[in-house]
Amino acid sequence: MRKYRCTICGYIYDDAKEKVKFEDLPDDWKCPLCGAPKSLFEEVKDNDTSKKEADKKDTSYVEEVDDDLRELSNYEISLICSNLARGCEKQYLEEETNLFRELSSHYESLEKSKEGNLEDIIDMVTSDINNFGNSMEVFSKYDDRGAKRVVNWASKSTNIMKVVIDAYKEKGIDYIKNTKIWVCDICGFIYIGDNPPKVCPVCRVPSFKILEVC
Amino acid sequence: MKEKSERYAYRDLKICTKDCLCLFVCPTGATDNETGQIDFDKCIGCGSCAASCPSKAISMLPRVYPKQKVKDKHVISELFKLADSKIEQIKILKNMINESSNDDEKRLYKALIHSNKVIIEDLFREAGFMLSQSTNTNKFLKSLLGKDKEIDTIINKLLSKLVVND
Repeated sequence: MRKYRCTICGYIYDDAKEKVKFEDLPDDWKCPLCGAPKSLFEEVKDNDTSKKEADKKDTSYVEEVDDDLRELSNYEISLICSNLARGCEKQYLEEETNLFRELSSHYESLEKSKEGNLEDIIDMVTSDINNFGNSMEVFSKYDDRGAKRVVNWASKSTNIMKVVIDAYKEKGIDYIKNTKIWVCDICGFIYIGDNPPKVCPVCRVPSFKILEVC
Repeated sequence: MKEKSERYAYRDLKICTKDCLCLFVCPTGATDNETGQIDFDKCIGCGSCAASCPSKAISMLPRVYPKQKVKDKHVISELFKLADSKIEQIKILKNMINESSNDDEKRLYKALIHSNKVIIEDLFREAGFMLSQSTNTNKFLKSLLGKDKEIDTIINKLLSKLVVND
């Protein structure tokens, strides 16, 4: 009997407890907790030696970095400011929160949009997913707990993003027609369905932080 | 003058249900204030009000936040690389919204933009912008000065309100 773990939310599918073996589940079967497809499940091994070995070897590629901070783009400034607004909000600094939000909107309005289509987005999201592993190794090398935490969430939410885009590409507008779309305002997890999960499967925040997109 | 306590009590008015136990336990009367908020100057940081509040509406906040961790430049560069790819996606998605005539499709693109924004903000938070009172934030704000008068007013307000803590 085997066990399988959802790499997004950690849900365990235990062959011993289920009527249908994991292997025999249809290809369009989804994680009951977060909606991740079957392909994002991995088998649970009792002695997870493969993982330990992967931790040992250091293959991370670290680029040479200039000391000088290069000039920031308008979007970078905008999102640094909206992040600082969130930080001020946590400290109950209402006026500062609003001032940072104003700055953020100003810099966002200066930025121009760019030509492109869904295929371009799919390529970029796929490339992001492939890069998270190297980032994680860099953050482990410098022992940065915060950076490891963010890349863990970002990689899960980006994987779900890819699942959603792929499903839309395959099923077309019917996939989202008459259905609500939700985004977790803490980690970016996307959910398609009438009601969001009670707790975000990626960052575990309660559902009132998972917002409906209108 | 007496030195101020390290911590002070803050009442979250969105949660406070006026149980008023804080008034009963407060040794200085700081919780009894016309504004509805606690009088931060009178507060001696004893924490009795927070401990007694049945609605958990009072938090003890530090008057000065601890310094944020100094980030290695390689970590910062890697975080910016991840963020920049997502920024390019937002630019394209905005254009896709403008060109789409279907409301459901627009909703999906909006969701992708929202998700990317949340992730980028989180990446920047870990790239040295955790605290608005940090030297890093202070330098960042100053670097934006001198391009637009109205924006300078906002930045100067922030610079005067946010006391650098490291």
